[in-house]
Amino acid sequence: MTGPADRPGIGRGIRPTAAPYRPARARRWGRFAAAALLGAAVLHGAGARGQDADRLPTDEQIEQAVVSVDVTRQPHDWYSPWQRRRTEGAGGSGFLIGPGLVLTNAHVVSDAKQILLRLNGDSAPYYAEVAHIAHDSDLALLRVADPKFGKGVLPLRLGDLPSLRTRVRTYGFPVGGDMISRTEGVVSRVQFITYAHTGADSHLAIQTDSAINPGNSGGPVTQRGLVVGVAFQSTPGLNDVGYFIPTPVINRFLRDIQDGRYDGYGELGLVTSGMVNPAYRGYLGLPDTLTGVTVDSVLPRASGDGLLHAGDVVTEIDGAKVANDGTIKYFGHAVSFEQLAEEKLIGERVTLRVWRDRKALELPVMLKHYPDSDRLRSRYDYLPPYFIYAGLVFMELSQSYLETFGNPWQNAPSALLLEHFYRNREQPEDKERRAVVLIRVLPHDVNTGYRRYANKVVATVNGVPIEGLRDVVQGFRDPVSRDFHRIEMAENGGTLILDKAAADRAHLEILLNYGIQEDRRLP
Amino acid sequence: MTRHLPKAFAWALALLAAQAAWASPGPESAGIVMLRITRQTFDPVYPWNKTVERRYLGNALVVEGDLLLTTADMVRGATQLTVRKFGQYPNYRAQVALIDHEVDLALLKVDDAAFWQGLHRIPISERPVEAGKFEIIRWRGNGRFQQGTGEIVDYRVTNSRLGAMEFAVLRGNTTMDSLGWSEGLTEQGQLIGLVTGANQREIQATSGQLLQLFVQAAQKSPFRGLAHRGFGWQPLNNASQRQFFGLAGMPFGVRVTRTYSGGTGAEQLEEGDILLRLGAYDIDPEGQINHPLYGPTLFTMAINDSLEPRLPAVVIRGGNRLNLTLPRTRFSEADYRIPPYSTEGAIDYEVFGGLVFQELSLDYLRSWGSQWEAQAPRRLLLELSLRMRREPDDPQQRVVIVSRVLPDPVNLGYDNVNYGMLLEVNGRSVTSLLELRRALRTPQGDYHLLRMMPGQGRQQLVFKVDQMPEANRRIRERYGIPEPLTSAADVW
Repeated sequence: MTGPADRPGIGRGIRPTAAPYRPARARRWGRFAAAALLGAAVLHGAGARGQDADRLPTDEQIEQAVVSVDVTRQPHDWYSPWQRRRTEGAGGSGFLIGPGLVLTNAHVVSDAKQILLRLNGDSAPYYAEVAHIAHDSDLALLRVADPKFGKGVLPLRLGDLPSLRTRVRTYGFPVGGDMISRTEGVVSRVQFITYAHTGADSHLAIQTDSAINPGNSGGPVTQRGLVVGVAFQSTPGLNDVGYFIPTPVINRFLRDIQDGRYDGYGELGLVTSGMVNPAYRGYLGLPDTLTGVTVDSVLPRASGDGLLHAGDVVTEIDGAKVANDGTIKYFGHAVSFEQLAEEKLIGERVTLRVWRDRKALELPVMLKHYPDSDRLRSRYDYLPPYFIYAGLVFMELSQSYLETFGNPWQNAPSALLLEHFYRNREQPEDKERRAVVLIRVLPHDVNTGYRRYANKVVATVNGVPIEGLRDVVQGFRDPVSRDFHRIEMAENGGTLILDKAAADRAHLEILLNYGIQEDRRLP
Repeated sequence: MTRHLPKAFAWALALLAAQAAWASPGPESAGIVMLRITRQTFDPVYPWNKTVERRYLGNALVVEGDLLLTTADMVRGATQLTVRKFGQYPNYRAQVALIDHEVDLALLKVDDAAFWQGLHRIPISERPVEAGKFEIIRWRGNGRFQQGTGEIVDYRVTNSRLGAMEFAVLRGNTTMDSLGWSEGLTEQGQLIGLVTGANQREIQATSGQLLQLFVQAAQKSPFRGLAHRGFGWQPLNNASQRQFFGLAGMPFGVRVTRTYSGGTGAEQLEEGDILLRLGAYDIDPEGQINHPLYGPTLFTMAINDSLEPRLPAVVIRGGNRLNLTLPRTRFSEADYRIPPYSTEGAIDYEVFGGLVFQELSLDYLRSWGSQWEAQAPRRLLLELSLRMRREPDDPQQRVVIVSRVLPDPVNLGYDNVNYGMLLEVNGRSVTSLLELRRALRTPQGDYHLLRMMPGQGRQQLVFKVDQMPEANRRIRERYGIPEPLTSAADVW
């Protein structure tokens, strides 16, 4: 579930555990071959019901299935959105889950231009491509076309959610050496946490004291020969606190891609609080026999928007009782009730039992894509939309843009922070609006004096209210007068005027001067 | 005769002479005194408590009218002020005669006539020194007078530390350490500044011009002080802008973008006005004027160029040139949604159901310590940054927050509303503690319903009316909270 706005910055301090570039051990390249049908192959390898279901792999066989992942990546530049940044090297781990198929973390292969895999004990590098990537749950499936890859290696199979305090093993290629590393620890916690890759998505995760270091990302965590998770992040400054993505999240990813496309999570969009206060329960007339959580607000445009209301009490989800702290019993663990919605795919329904107006009712909620999630996440493998006119560079406000300030909370303008993190909650009536920011002014005579307006939100362009980047383009098509464009910044932030003829003349010159191929990439 | 003395004796005499010169301060030492402050403020987090008193040493300068000039920040919250001249016993009791947080200046009076004997004021120089060296004078805790030197960097128009007033601040470099305690800056025997802050080797000081204005303003009754700018503006330095607004060929004029709820021009200017001239100065398209003291500087300096009660202005409005007279006014407390300082000693608060309600203030945010701008609750910091001042006709007087939840059975489960902003109580909008108290008189049936700003934890809080008298009594007793200062006790 996307849960960023209620706790901005909650993921700070947790970092993905991909490693910086590690030199390749060998330079013998494989080559791409025809791709196989993915879904069936994955399930055959990943499921515990295959023909080898009863034969659990030995430690040696597990280690054979673990791969090191060397990546050359090139992220997009959100400050100069028409270009890419410099290439950089990164590394991580992964493991074979089917013929030619490797599971790893999304953050290991994000923005990848080249991916090279090496199986443990086999120095031959193999080219891989990203078959599917789920940034929201930090998982990716890689495909290697070369049939020699993994030949004779038993793909690993997925197990269940491990119990608390049981032992697990983590395999991977963390920094500090080229050989495979295996560490052991116990399951400390099973809970929802923010996945640091996007900084905005919360899912089930398992905390362990098994060492998870940079480079471990994407490696398998096993228990009794079955994979119970994918190592993915740790908390710097805390000793022996690592996290892995458990199999319910992995299984959901694999189910989602069966139709050949990853659709992501539906978002219930419920901001809830526990239901323990006796006065509150009395006010709502909630019988003592019922437990649940009260809905404080519903994220605009999320699946629950328009169906659930502030003050509703969610008492059950798909027949599971919701406790007063918002948890349900899930494989013996107390986890957030949202887990049952998490398992569903977009287009599927979840049934909530709700206490409203002193009556119980059932509300089927169809899960749908949450459009605001894209602006709230750190984005990867995505070309940032922008529009340039007369040296004025416009973008929709997004998490990735705020990250160009380094630490946004220290360096970004307050107005942008308020707009990004709070406005949709505090002013849900404006839920369709996506704030557009004048991010830069590329200096030229025609825009003299306008750099001071950089990083302000645009209110109107030639009288057209700006609710998205396309409105800016539309606004410039219809000048307020024959001779001038008029741009109003929000909050009485000032009025910018462009001489239309001069701006048109300068436009191309500015693009050439600043090495910009295209003046727009629209969403 | 000396030449007949033994060499050792001559050296000894020379050393004594040097010591005497070092121990006997120059004439400036009679114009500055040592200030001892005992400060105890109310605890912004537990506002019924006072913090542990702390003692500070600073300086104050002798000014006309047998008064001492220091910074407001030095003496705010002072429970005892004493001064000592020439770094020597005795101490004299001082009192705050006038404090102006907006300009961060205060005047102190000392009733004991003996104190003033031997002291004389250092003349204040209005004219800024554009470049070169200055002297820094101060008293140290060991009773020694200290003089050092520094170099002027520039004068910069900036906002006052606590309020929203704009004036020129002297910036300089020095090798002296531990500055920022109202030290005096002098140049050729004249006072050119009062140090208000220091960061390693950089210092900031209130300029002599402002010191002089403040001292002059203090002599007038009632004290009107310096004035605020009551409007927002934008430069018009783009040729297309000037053409569009009909200013082509005209070398002057900036644009008014908004007016505030108070301050100079708030009522006379209108959004969209082209401000051509303010006071005695034509305003260039970038908002600069040619000031006789500061040279090219921001036009807002014209607002406090003198203490005249009115300020002439020339604007273009709707294509017509208008001559306006702007009363020079300053913000009142009511013009702030978030007061940047407190003019009263005590902090008003309300405790209901274990929730401590306060009106958001800068003092509250500063209670997070020296790193408060990074560590205070983010949503509240944004509120301060963006909405400190009220808009004209803004119905919101203050921002009422839950500053603390004192755990009790009646607020079980409400612990996540810490630092949340209160919107409504019992269906009524709440924008002040007074409104909160009134709203609590009209519960909704058997319950009090409180609604918080969305996105900051629980949005609705419910309390049962018949439980509250006992619960409030219990909470006050358990947490040692005195009875409310207001007469609201009968509400519940």
